[in-house]
Amino acid sequence: MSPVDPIQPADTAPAESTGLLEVVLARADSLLRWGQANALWPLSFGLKCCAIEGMMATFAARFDLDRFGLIPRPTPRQADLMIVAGTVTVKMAPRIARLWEQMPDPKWCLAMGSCAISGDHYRNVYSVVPGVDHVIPVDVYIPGCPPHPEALIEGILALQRKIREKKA
Amino acid sequence: MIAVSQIGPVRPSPLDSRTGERREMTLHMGPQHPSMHGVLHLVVGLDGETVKWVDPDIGFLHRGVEKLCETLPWDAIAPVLERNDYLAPSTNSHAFCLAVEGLGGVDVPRRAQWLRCLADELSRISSHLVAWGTMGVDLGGAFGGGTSVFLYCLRERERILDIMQEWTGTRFHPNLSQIGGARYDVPAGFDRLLDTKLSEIDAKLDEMISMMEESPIFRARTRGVGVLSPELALGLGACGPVARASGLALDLRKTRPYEAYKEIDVPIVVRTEGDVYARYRVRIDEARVSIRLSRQLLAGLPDGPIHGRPPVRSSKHKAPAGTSYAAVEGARGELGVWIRSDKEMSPTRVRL
Amino acid sequence: MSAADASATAPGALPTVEVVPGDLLALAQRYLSEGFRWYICTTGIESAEGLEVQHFLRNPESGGEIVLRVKLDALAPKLPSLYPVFPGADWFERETWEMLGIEFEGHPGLRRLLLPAEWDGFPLRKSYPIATPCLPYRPAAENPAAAVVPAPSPIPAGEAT
Repeated sequence: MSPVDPIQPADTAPAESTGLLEVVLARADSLLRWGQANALWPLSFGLKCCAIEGMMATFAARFDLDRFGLIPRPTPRQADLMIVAGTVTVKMAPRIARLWEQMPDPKWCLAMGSCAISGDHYRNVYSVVPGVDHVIPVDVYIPGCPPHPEALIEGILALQRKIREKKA
Repeated sequence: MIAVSQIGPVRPSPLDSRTGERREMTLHMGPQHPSMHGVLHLVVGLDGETVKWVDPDIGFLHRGVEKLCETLPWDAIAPVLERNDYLAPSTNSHAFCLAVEGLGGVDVPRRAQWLRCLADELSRISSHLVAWGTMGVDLGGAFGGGTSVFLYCLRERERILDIMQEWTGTRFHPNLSQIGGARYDVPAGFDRLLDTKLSEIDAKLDEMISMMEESPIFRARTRGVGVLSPELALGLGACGPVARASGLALDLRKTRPYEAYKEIDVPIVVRTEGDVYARYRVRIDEARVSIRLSRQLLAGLPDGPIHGRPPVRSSKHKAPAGTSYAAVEGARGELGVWIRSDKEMSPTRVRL
Repeated sequence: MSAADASATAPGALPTVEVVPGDLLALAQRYLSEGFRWYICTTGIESAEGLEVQHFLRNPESGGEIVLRVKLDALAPKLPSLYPVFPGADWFERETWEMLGIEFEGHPGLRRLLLPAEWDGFPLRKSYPIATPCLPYRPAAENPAAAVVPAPSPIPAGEAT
């Protein structure tokens, strides 16, 4: 690699420098984001029917989420994506918050199914949290009850686009 | 708390080498754990690998469905209840519709009855496939041997979901049963589709059985483990495959037949060992029976309408006052719904 | 054990026996000795008539079913626990206590089953509003009047189906 040019002194124009350092950093940054997007490791965390349809059926042979780089990890310490699939109850909510805190940065959350988005038809029930975004910040919402596995794949692709374009 | 001593013999653990005492460890399993069983928190007292006691902590998915049903009109409840036992969704709404129809005032055409039973059988196969798949994961771990069985079982389950999609338009939660009939009729060419898909599953069952049973780890972990005696099963209220694995020939399709099962003979699968292997094997044999029953139900499907009252969009059901109990044989056992109505647009009490 | 039952009970009609709380255990023992060994379920109900508890028992050989119905005092709903006779009643009675506030004397430990241990109130009571907030995760609704579906209006006595 050729040596980096010395950085210009401060009294010259500071905006939009096109020195080699910046180019290298920008390339490294997009390489890093490409890597993050294509190796999202979800926490295997399903609550309800969306877990069967979304997590189990989508990870299984026909829809195969592994080809997108998703390897389900059983522990939050090794995961960077939390797919919340199912209704969040007030009993479960503190555990979700704790699991989210245990996940190291950078991390993303995907709310799958209408129960996770808004509580669906349970939202007026005393024990239900109307949407997981009352507990943790959500990046992508996937509607459906339950969403088709291809909808989950579309949501994951959307999240990958979001990461690559540095909106997350 | 159920003492494990009631369930089977407890192997004594080795003594601690320094103090000479037996030690017990309390372990919290869940509510998030890699067994993919939804959310279940178990506080377990372990002595080596032997479970001495277990205190389950449940309610992480309590959605207040019984209270919710008291605020909904009758027609809106069946789809809500389908999400209760979400592995065999059709059975829930079927039980509820039977209970409401038992209050009186609704005639269900025979074709609708047979269609609902057909959906039950397909749901049963689908649920049992998930049961073996997750059992394989539990016994074999998240990667490696366990996951292979899981993938095979879910691939076969996709065939059932294809059938449901052709029939109702959705893979899951078909919202098929409604008060007074069934919502969707089978399309043309359905018998060929059903036959093809079920034959594919049938052909693979032997392969999946051999995958699990030829493993010595599987055999060591399931045979003689967790034995449930018939007396304890009855006292605890066990039903379904758990009771049938303990030697109790209790199957609602035979003992109190409803709808199509009054005209079809259902062989009951019973095992006497009462251990984990028996419970697993009962489910496999039941799936085989269900495959045969599905074909029988479709072949004998009577002609006629599928609605006993105007379709649900244009009418609101008003149930007469009274109490009613109806049960179907779900994938997990007796799925009963008890209803009390006081002649309003919503039930006073729905008990599942 | 034979499983044939010639006269299946018609849906909706379950033979019910009215029991006062003091007689419950003796009656349950009697039915147990008569063959009703299969414990099915326990339900608590609050209706316009008040609080009651129903225990469902079944005879696995003959298929017969019996419902033990216990009407309770509205101010102090108490009855003996069925746990000494049928161990399966454990969780059902915990749930009934949790949801309706009915106390079961002699139960090994009445504690919350489905809700967090520190929950207040008995949700299935008619006086308990369904959309009760539970901070911090379940905030109060911005518009309390908006329900999932419009509240059903009771049919006046004169109107038939």
